[in-house]
Formats: sequence, C-alpha cells, structure tokens
Amino acid sequence: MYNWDLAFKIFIFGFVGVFICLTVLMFSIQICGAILKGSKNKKS
Amino acid sequence: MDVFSLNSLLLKTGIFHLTVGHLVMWAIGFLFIYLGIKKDFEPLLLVPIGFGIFIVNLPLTPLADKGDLIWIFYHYGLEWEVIPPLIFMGVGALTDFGPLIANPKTLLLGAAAQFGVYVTFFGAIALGFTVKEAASIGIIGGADGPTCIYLTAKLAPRLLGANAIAAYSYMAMVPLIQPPIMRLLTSKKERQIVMKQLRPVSKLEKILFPMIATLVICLLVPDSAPLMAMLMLGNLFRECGVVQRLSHAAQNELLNIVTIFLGIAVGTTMKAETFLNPQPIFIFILGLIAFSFSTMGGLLLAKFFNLFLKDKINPLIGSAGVSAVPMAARVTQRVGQQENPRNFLLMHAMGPNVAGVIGTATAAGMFLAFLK
Repeated sequence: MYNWDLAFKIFIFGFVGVFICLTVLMFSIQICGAILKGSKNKKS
Repeated sequence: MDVFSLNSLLLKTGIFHLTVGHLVMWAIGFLFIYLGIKKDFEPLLLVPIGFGIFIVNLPLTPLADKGDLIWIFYHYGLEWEVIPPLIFMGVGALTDFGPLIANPKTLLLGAAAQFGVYVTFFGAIALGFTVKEAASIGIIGGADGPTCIYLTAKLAPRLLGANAIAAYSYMAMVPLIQPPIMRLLTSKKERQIVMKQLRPVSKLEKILFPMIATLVICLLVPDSAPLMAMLMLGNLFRECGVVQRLSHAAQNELLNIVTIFLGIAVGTTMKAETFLNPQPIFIFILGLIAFSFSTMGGLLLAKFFNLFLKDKINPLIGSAGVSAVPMAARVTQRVGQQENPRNFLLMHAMGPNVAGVIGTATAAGMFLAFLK
C-alpha cells in the first residue's frame, strides 16, 4: 500500500546527503580559512 | 423592482451561501489575528494569513479563483516560486554567518537537526499521506517557514495552508517546546559547560563565505539553488559593504512586501471545503513530532561530539540547529543562563542556528531531487 521502498531510500540518501553536503561545506570553510591565514602570515 | 429580480439579487449576495464551514474558518482566521495581535505570535505572518482565511471564506467573492486578485498573488508568488527565494534573500541580508565561519563544525549540528524532518516523513507515510505530501510535512521539522512553503508549493500544494500554519506556529512556540526537551536530554553539568570565546572572523572570510556556500551546496544539490543562491546573494549584499542600499532594501522593503503577499496567499489556500478535514490535525501533530525530533537530533550530536572533543561544547547549542532564527539561539542562551548566569551561549548557538537554515534548504533540495 505504501511506497516504503522509495521512502526508505529517501530517508537514507536524503539524511546522509544533508550530512555530506554540510560536511563538504565545513571542510571548504576550514580550507579557505587556512589558506587565508597562511597568506596573511606570509605577508607579515 | 419585482419579486423575481429582488430574489435573484438576494441570491447574488453571499449571505444565502454561507455554510457552517465558512463560519468555522472565520473563527480560525480571527484566532490567528488574535494570536498575532494579542499574543505576538509571528504577527507579521499570522495577521495577513488570518485575514486571508477570513476573506477567502466569504462566499461568492472573486478573490481566490483562477484569475482573481489573490489567486494572482498565489500563482505568481508561490506557484512560480518567487516569494520564498525573495524572503531568503532578505534573511541572508539580515544574517551574520560569522559564528558559523568561526566554528564550522556547528554545520554538522545543523545537519543533525534535520533528523526530525526524516522521522516525520516516515510518520506521515504511515498515516496515509503520499510520499510527496509526507516530504512537505516532514520539512516542518526544519522550522523554516519559507523552505516549508517552497517545498509544499512544489510537491503538495493542497497542503500549503496547513503546512505553513504549522511551520510558523511551531517557530513561534520554540520557547515552549524546546526547553523541556533540552532539560530531558542533558545533565545539569552539561548545561553549565562554558565554551571558549569564538575567534574573530575577517571581512574577507565573510565575503567569501556566500560564494563558497553557494558553490558547494548548489553543485551537490542543484534543486536547492533557488533558496541557497538567494540566501547567499542577500548575505553577499550585507557583507561586501559597497551595496548598502541593496542590502537595506532586501532586509526591509523587499522582505516586508513579499511577506504581505506570502501571508495573504497562504491564508487564501485555506478554504472551508478543502481545509476542514482531519488532515490538518494530523499535520499539526506530525509537525510537533518533527520539531521535537529535530531538537533532539542537534542535542544528541552535540553530546556525541563531546565524547571526542578536548574543548567541550555545551550540548544546548545543538538544539539551535532548527532554523528558527534567532529564536532557537535565544532559547539556548536563556536555558544555559538558568544553570549558569555567567554563561553566554548566544553567539555559540547562532552557528548551528544559521547552519539549520542551510541544512533545511539542502534537505528540501534533496526531497525535490527525488520527488519532483
């Protein structure tokens, strides 16, 4: 009756997907911050 | 004037077409207006929504049928996906992402707070809603009104009124719903944890952030782009420092104007003949479940972090991962100060709070990727 298969896939891929996206964003911010800090140290 | 024409004139008035359903909807509309004016529950939305409910339930009024005035607001504003992204632009222009940039791991707390979205998604399917309807109900757990409206307008427009009301009601009730859950899941000692002061964030970092966030999220989840791109454009206006007029317009005039259209358009989706059935009650119950599980998700991940971190974080900030900005962060601050009056958690909680906005927009994009 219910489309549990699709729902389960959405749950797994959706929730994990949100984590993956925000984890990638977290590392991007950290890498960018490190580069900026490095270039600032180089200048000084 | 003869009797025949007087009769037909009378039949053209709304009075003879009134039903009990209309009267019930008037009462609901007046309740929202009362809550907005008297109790200060999200008045910017509940007042226009309440009035919208009232006028759409006046029989024979040419307001909400195809081609009518408010149908035009609804059609071009919501069905064409214009209003929620514009609200996001205003939200972006109002939001300082500094606490998030200073402590990027709070992004994960924002992700964990989407737990309620997916739990409720299952719950809604079990209650007999279709998969698309369940997705639109689940997103209430993100406590982000524009995202909820955006997703519902695309996946289940029939539920727009009930979902929007549930989302904004729970956002207004954050100070009532969250503290008991926060106390239940944390010990007194945990609530007293004092966190290290956040590092200062440079202007360049703040300018780069909206571009990096747009790039990452829109590349990974293209369906979230209308919300994410507008959120980050508004934030770029704010942070770049050279377009104050645009930033001011996005935060004030534009946001206010689209809020009027949003409120009226949402209110007019609540006609007696479509709204008065058991489904809105289920939606309100599921919305509460979603919101509670989202609060738990953020709290529990924060506790999990503390198993590994040297500098412990106060798990209360995890509850701010729901998007209700800045209300959820203020609740964290208040509950934290009840345990330790010298503990200032507000800025720490703003990180997960704004991360929740990004997380909910991403979750909505995920649903769209699967279901649209």
